[in-house]
Amino acid sequence: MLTITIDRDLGDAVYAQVARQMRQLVASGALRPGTPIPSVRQLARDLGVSLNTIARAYRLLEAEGFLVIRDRAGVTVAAPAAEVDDAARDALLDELRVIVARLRQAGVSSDELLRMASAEVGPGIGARKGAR
Amino acid sequence: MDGEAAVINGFFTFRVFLVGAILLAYPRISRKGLMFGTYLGERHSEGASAGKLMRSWDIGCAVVMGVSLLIGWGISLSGQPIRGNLTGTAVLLLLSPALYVWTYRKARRQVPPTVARQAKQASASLEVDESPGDHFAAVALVVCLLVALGSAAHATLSFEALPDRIPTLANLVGLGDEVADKSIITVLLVPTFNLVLSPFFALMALLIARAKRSLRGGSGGRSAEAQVAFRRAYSHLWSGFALFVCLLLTVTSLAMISVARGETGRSSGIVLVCISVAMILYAGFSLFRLMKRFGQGGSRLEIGSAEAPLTGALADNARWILGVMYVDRTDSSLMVESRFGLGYTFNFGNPVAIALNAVYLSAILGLVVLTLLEFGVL
Repeated sequence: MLTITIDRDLGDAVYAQVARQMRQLVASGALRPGTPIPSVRQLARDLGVSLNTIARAYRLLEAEGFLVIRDRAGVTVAAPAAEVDDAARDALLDELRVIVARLRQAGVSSDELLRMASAEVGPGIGARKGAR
Repeated sequence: MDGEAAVINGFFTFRVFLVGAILLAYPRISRKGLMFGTYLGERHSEGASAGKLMRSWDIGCAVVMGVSLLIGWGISLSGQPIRGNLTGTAVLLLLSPALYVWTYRKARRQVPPTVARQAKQASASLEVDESPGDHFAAVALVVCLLVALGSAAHATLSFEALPDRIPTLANLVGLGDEVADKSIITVLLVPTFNLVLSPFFALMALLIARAKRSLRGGSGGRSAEAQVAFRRAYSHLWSGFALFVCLLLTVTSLAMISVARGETGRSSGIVLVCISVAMILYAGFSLFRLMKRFGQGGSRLEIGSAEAPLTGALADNARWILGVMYVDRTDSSLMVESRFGLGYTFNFGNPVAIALNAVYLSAILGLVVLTLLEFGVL
C-alpha cells in the first residue's frame, strides 16, 4: 500500500511535502497514469491537516500536469502529454540546467550524472541516445 | 432476602462484574504504544514500568469492584435493596473514572521525550478510501428517518381516537403499567424519542465509516487494512443498533396506541421483550467480537506492522485532554480513533463536531425535561 508521510518539523510547508512525494511516486512509476488517488477531503482527514493544505498541493500538481481533477470522477494520476509543449519543455530545461549545475557543484561527475539520469528515465534512454 | 431483592442484587452484581470485565479488557485491546489514553511509544509500552502500570490498574479495578459490591450489598442486606443497588452503582460510576484519571496521570509521567517528535509526523494511504460500511449506514439512516416519521404520523393521526387516559408504559403482557392524561406530549413522546435517537445512531455509523485512519509510520499497509476492517465492523454495529432501536421504539409506540384503544392482547408485550433481548444480545456479542477479533482500531490485526511508530492524532499527547477528548483545530477530521476503550471519538476542535454534539445533547435534554414536566416530576 502506497503511503505518504508529512513532518511538521521540516522546513518545507506541508502542501509542498505532499506535492513532492506525489511527484516522486509518479516519477518512480509507483503511481501509474489513471490511478485514482484520495480526494482532498480524505487525504486532509487522514493526515490531520486542513482541506486548504491538500487542495493547494493538488492544484499545484494539476498545474504541473501530474494530476487530473474532475468533480465527480475524483482525482487521478495524469497520463504524460501526447505532444510536447515547447514552452513547458524550455522552462523545465532551464530548471534541469540549474539542477545539473548544482549537482556538478556538489562534486557529482559527468558519468555519475548520466547513470543517475539513466536510472531515473529508465532503460529507454540508452536506445534513444544510440539512435541519435 | 425475598425474591425481588434477590433479583435486584443479582442484576447489581452482574452489572459490577460486567463493568469490571470491560475495564480490565480496555487497556489490553489498545493499539500498541498506547496505554491509558497516553502514547508511550511502541517499545516503552512493553517495558517493566508499563507492566507495573498495568498491574496497578488491575488491582485498582478489583478494588473498585469490591468496594462497589460491599457498599451495595451492605445497604441491601439492611433491608433496602433498591437503595443498595443505586448506591453501589453510583460508587462504581464514580470510582471507575477516578481510577482511570489516577492511572492516566501515572502514564503521562512515563512518556519518553522522543514521543513528541513522532506526533509531528502523519502518514496517509494513497489508496482511495471506499468507506466500507458507508452504504449500510446510509440505508439505516434513511430507514430510521422514514420509519420514525411514519410512527410520529401514525401517533398524530390516532390522537383523536384515543381515550382521555393513555398507557405510557406497557408491561410484559402488553397492558398499560402506567397511565397519564392524553396530550400531544404523551402521545408523541416515544415517536419523538425515536426520531431523535435512531437516526442519530445511524448518523454515527455513517461518520464512523468515514472516520480518520490513523496509520503507523513507514510501511503502514497492514495497519491501514486492519483499521479499515475494524471501522467497517464497528460501523455495521452502529447501523444494526440504530435499526434495532428504531424497531423497538416504533413497536412500543404502536403497542401503546393499540393498548389505549383496547385492541391488543398479550402479543405486543412479548414482541417488545423479544426485540429488547435481541438488541441486547446483538450489541453484547458484537462488542465482544470486536474486542476479541479486531481489538481497538484493528490492533489485533496489525501483526507485522505494529512495531512501526504511530503518527498523527493518536501519537500526539498534547492534543488529548485526559487521553479521551481530542481537540485539534488544524485537523479537518470529524472523528478519530479513541485512545482508550473501543471505537471513535469526535474531534472537538472541529466546529461541526461541536455543533453536532450541542444539537444532539440539547434535543435529548429538552425531551427529558419535557417528559419530567409532563409527568409532574419537576
